[in-house]
Amino acid sequence: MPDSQLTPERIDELLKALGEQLMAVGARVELVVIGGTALVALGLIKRSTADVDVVALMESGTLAGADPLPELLAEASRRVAADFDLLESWLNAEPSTDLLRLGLPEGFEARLIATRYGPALRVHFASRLDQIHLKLYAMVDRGLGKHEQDIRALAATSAELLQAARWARTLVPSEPFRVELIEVLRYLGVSDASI
Amino acid sequence: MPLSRHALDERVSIFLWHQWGMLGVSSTESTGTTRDRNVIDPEALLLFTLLIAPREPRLFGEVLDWLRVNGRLMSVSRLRNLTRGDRERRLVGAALAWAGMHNPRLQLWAARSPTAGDPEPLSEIYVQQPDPAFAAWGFLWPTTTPSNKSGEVDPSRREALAFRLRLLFGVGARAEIFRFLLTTSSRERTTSEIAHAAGFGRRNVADALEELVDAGAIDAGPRGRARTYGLDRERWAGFLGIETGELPPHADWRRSLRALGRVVVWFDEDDSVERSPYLRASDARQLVEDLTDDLAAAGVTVPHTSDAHGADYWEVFERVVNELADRLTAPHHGSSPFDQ
Repeated sequence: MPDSQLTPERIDELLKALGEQLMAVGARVELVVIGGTALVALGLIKRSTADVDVVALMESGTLAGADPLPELLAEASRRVAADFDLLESWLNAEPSTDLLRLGLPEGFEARLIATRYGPALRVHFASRLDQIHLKLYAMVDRGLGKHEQDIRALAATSAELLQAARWARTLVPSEPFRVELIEVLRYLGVSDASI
Repeated sequence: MPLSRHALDERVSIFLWHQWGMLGVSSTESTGTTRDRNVIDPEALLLFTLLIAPREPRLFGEVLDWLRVNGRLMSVSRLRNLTRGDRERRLVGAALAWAGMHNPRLQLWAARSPTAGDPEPLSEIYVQQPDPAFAAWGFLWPTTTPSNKSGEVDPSRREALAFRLRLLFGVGARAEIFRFLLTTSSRERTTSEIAHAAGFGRRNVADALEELVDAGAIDAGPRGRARTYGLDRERWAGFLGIETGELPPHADWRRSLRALGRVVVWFDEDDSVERSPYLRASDARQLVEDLTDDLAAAGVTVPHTSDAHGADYWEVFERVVNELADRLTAPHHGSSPFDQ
């Protein structure tokens, strides 16, 4: 049974391995990563995560869709999965489909924090502020749980949460979503939520 | 035990010299090997040798000489059926052409002359005068003259049963059907199993099996929804003048030697690249995954490796390769570990 949890120690090892596999086939890839992996990689939280969420590829300085993963990257990812007994979906490009289409927070690209994993792989991690945006949206969209834990670990300020909430409204302008968003904000301690 | 590339090469070399020595190749090698007991598969052994032996020019030359002397008992169709890919086919073509050029009885083998591009060196040895047979098939190999040291196969040797059956039934599917049914431990084999062991096309083998059933030479019965075949080993052993217990056991040489060949070639390629321990182990894992069925046919069980992450897989790979080499070359007593 493949291991479904990536510990903080393993994430670094896996991305280095992915970089080596890409190097071996002469590919160069830049990933844009959000979610638990990005939080762990930037040292903002310390917990296991189920996969590496790829929101986009960076191609010539521009964000591009990552789903489906390019063939060389997919093959390298499959190799790493076999080498470390992971689910084949450990490198998960599903978030790419919706978020890129709906629109990432303004200034997202400029705030990315890049790390190299060998000459063939560069990973751009979403910044703390952007993670607050994404986590707040996830709390409303998918419920509390790990998203609440993460957003509390990030010690988001009221101003940051309000900024994130305004962005979330651009993704889902419906009234029921606004009501739910306000409830979540109150739950997080933001009472004067005029969004 | 850590894996030594040199030790593996040495064991393969001893194995080959001994196998060929039993078939009449001039050899000073007398070390017993596991497969002494098993019936030899001539085409699988020749194909494996052609792929591996260029690193050992003396063996390569002696095997070519053996082919020149014993070629009439080899099946060209079967050899081609066992090959995979253009390179293997050309290598077989070159060896046959060489034998054809040096034995008038086999001259038809030299008749085909494909067009080839830049010749590929078969080994690192310096080639002053390329051999025309190999050059015609796209390989650079020094001109090789017959050593004239090879003898004819002694068909009375138990390991050479395949040749005795070819002398009896002719070179073709029937001899291979009998080789398998006489030496396999099961008396109920399906057409697919027999066709694989015979190394001929399924239709060809199926037709031959039914004719042999009609002739009363073998028996047919059902296994599930499949039709199975077997024979009365005592009766046939008696006909051949062999004690039933003296019949050499079957080995799936096709798969066993293919696995060994891939491993040896993998090490050649591994020597030519510099890479991290992780990438090396990853590539080794891929190789073992690709060879799982062939390794199983050689009696090697690939261990479950969920704990051997990344570079740690190398130790598993070492164990697998050592076991494969042990299966093929270590002294062995008792029943054959290869027959399934």
